[in-house]
Amino acid sequence: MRKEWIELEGFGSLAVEQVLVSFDVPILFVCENQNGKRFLTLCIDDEEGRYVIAEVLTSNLIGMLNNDITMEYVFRQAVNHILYVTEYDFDKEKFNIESEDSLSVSKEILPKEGMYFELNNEKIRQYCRDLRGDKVLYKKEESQYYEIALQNYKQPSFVITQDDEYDMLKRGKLTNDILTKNVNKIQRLSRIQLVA
Amino acid sequence: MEIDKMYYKRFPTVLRDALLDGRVAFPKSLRVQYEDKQVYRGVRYNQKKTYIDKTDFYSHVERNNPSIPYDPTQITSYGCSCFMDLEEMHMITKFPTKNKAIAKGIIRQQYGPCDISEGNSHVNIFLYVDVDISKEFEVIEKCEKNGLN
Repeated sequence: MRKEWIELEGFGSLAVEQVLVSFDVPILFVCENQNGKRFLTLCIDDEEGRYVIAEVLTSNLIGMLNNDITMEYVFRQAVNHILYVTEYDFDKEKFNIESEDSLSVSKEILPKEGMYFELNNEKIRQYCRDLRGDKVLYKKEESQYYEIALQNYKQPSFVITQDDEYDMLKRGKLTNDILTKNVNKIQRLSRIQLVA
Repeated sequence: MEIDKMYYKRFPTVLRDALLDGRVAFPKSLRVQYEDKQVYRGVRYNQKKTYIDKTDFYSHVERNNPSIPYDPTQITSYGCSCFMDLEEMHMITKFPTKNKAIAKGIIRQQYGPCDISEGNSHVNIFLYVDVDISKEFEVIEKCEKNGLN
């Protein structure tokens, strides 16, 4: 069981599900409540306990991690357009929380405009896969492309096309073993096209 | 080096007690012997604090700031988080996070064992008691309101 971090009125306790960006403390992280709702959280100032919390759609979270949408956009598109801005009262040992309109809130407390997440490592890729619930069912090597079946799609065949990034993987001898190890990287880097 | 109860006594009280009580355990990937590593660490930096000191290398548990989300049942909460890749530290430039700076320094095996994450450049060092590595570090980039200067 995860350790509860903050109590948010109407949502209950939030616990950290995944730290996305860490400095000396978690800076950007995802919390989850007992109902499985997800909250993207940004640390503004840990010395004052200032955080911005947004209930987010998982699809937006995935879009952010895939660099399809900016981080600021995800906060602006918070569920019901509500952001929760906290400050910790060290005397009373509790967070003071205020609601803000996500569309009009000052940009001073959000990720910089136009900035994509861009951090790309195996932990992030794994978390993204977990969010999608994808599981690779099979892999088939072909001369020009690779087919990968994903559990969550009704017509689960994808063609991974060759592009510049993918070619990086192809410079070496691409064996099935290498493909297996890199299959998620290939998904992440390549333009994946659905073939019915 | 055998990792046993005698070894646990080399760590600060909070970690030593947690290890002895069995609340946490060192990961199997812990490295007691390793070559010096250049790492980057986020440190507190503001108008009043323009220097690095021992407190910048406290673990979440030692720091005991109730506003920071951490789990005392996880060994990672007892370590000092560093990164080998400066680019991971530069993620901070995308956020309005205040009172921070990036420090560059060296960690050495005599300061404590480390655990290198798989999948990113994160390194957790578990400092031995009374070790102060602040002299090994220098601030290289300061966070201003909306980025680094």
